[in-house]
Amino acid sequence: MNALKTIWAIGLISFQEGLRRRIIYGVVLASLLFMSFAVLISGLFMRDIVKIMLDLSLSAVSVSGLLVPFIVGITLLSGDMEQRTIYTILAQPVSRAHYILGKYLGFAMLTSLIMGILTGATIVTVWGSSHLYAEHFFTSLSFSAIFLSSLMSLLAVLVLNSAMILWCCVTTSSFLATLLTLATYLIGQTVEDIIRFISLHIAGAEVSGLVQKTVQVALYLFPNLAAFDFKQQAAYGLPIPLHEVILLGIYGAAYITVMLLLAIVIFNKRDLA
Amino acid sequence: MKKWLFVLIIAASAGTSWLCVHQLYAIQNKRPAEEFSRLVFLPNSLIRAGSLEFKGIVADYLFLKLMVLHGERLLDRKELSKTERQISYKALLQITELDPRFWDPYLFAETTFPWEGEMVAETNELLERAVLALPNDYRPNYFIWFNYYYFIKDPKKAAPYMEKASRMQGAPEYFKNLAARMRVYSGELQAGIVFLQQVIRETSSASERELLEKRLFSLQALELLESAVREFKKKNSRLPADINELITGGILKKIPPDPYGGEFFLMESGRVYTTSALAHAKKKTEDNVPAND
Repeated sequence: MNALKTIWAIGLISFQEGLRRRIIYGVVLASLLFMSFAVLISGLFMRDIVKIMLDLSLSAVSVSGLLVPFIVGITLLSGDMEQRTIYTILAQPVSRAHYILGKYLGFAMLTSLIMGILTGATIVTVWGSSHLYAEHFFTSLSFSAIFLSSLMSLLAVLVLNSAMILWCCVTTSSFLATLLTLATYLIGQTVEDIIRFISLHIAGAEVSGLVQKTVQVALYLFPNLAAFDFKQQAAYGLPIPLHEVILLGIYGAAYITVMLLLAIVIFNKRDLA
Repeated sequence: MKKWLFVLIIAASAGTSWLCVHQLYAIQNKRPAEEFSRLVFLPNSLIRAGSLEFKGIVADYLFLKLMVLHGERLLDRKELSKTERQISYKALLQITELDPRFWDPYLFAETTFPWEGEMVAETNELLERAVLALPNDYRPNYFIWFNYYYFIKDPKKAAPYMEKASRMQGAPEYFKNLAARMRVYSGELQAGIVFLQQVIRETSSASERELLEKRLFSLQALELLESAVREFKKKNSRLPADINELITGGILKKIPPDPYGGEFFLMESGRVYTTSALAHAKKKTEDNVPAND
């Protein structure tokens, strides 16, 4: 019980620290402006007005969510080490594992808040636009698909947050941790496409067995972030299969657990002096 | 800082900025027209992987660039060169590879290439992709039918597509009649009129509607003249000597104008054609876009 309270307290402090970063407000404001721009630009297209609007708005939701693992999370974690506030925290009856889990909880709350606000703004944008454009452009609109797509994007960022925490535990350099998180994101988004390309066996573009094996290993080692992307389904109001959502939920939870446990093991062995 | 100096600096900077805006606008206007996005020339697999989770937005961007390029040419009344049309087609392949359910690129291809560049086979190839990506949508089959029937003049190949389209949910009721008449009646003009009416109903852009309506009026004029010729033949057991005999023979009160500025004339076969070939006289552009081979 005490452990949960400690984790919650650290999580809350990290969340509040994150909220103090002005960059978050800047990005949320920019995303809201981008969504307004989406309403205007979608009118330039012939028919797929909702698709354009949702492409732009849901991309803004994703980009804003990525702000936490790429910028806010890393600066907060490395800030604790560099400004030595971590000693004050660990001097309390707080274990290193509690610290890691608490930090993760704080970042998860921050990511959920940002992406939640922007998903709400997306729904308001589309709803508002339905008064601007003719009704028949909105026949494919599905608010449940928008909600599920954003939920899956949130899960993808939560997975990336756990990888970011692991990299922050592995290296003392915040720059290197950012690069490693970026690499995780890029590999996670592209590895499926690369495997699909290799499996095509295109003449003249043969891939060596070693590369094939490496890519296969990468698929299991790095999070398959592309699988969490349902933006196109949301843009066309297509149903998102429940079994896929459940499977991704299990996959995400399992991956986050592995990353955080590894992070705890590494952080426990790390010399903070 | 003194107040007057502060005001002076602000006023001078604002004035300079205002002047720059005008100068920059003038420079921009002198620059060459919109060009193809360089992304179009990348291999499909690379652009797909590089778009990460933003494939939809990249497809939107590429399509917007393509529309602007074609729109500028339309405004300048400059025809796209063969190479430019081929690059446009490549761009559409890229866009539909990134987002196969994006309907606008298919519609854009259908209302552009066959009418202007005779790239009917390529348009059908693109539409076949839409048939797979949008299995419950009647429009891709309907467009392929139209292309085979109207442009390629192959009713045999066209018929299955109309039959497939007519069975789909949301397809207009008259499709069933059209599908039934396909094999017995060679009504190219009627097919064209029905097609254009359908597209106009779905078009929101005023400029695009205007363009399509002009084409529709010209087909309706041709249809009116051809049915008048048939009526004249029925009445007089011969074809009229020229188009004006339809007026003197009491079939028509006047010859409708060709919206493209041409003049209608009667062929020996009894078919009516126009000197405009249903297009404005266009300025040819130089074939100055690099090929991607």
